[in-house]
Amino acid sequence: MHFQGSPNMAEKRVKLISSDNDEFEVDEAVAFESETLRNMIQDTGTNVPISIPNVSSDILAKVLEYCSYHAETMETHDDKPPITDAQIREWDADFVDVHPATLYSLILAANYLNIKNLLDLICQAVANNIRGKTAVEIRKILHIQDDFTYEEEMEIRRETKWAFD
Amino acid sequence: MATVFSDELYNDEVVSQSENAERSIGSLSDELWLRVLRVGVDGGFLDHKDLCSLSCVSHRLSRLSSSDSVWQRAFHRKFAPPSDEASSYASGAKRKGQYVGATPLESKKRKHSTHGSRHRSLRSRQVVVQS
Repeated sequence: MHFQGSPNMAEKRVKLISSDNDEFEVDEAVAFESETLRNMIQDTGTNVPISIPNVSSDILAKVLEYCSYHAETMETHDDKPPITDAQIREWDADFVDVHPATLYSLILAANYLNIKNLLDLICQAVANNIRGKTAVEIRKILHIQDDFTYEEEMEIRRETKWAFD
Repeated sequence: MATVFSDELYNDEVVSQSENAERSIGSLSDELWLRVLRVGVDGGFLDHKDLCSLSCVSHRLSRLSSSDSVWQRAFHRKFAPPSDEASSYASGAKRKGQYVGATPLESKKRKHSTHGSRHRSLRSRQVVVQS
């Protein structure tokens, strides 16, 4: 699987290998969106493929899609108008409009690869999923077991009642 | 009003519907949960009501959502809304994209009794009397 970054042929290419052994090739600038990859590349160069043992190919493809787009927004082209902040916002909104289980995998990948803007974007998306929900709804959408006893639940509801008055 | 989490609402082909609790956001590490809460509060996605709802979800979320660092941000945002440069997260989020029409917390009608108080003093520690 090959990922198309910018068409700048002078750019160094970096090979990445997902946990399920799919190979991705991206521009160095795309890989540099990740602090983890930047450090690895600075240590070992771009000749050796970099294994990313805890990120599967479907999630790595999503992460590289994000990195490619954001690396591209940094570039200036004479023949194209620059990408506006509003366009980036819209693209980001679309990017995180995924199932919560995908957000879960993405948050782990962004954390491991140390891509701060992506991590914050996903954290916002998770927070937005929670916003305005009741405890029962949150348990349901995040698959969290209710581990309170009846007495504990009554007490915590009493303690937090002020917020809902 | 509440968003329904059904798969067809997402333009998402990566994950099948057969997801279980082990691969759910609920099982994120404490560190990542705290990040979600801090970024959520700073970005205006979560307010004191949401933090209280989270407290009622489970023991772990109760502990995480009650942490001082999260509540300090929530109260700071509510009672001393950051100026444009005051909070790097918030301004970053604003610039980078409040991607889904986030509205800032309304600065309305909280009573003065809570102004500036610490969260722990707000949570009454009543003894549960079971009848």
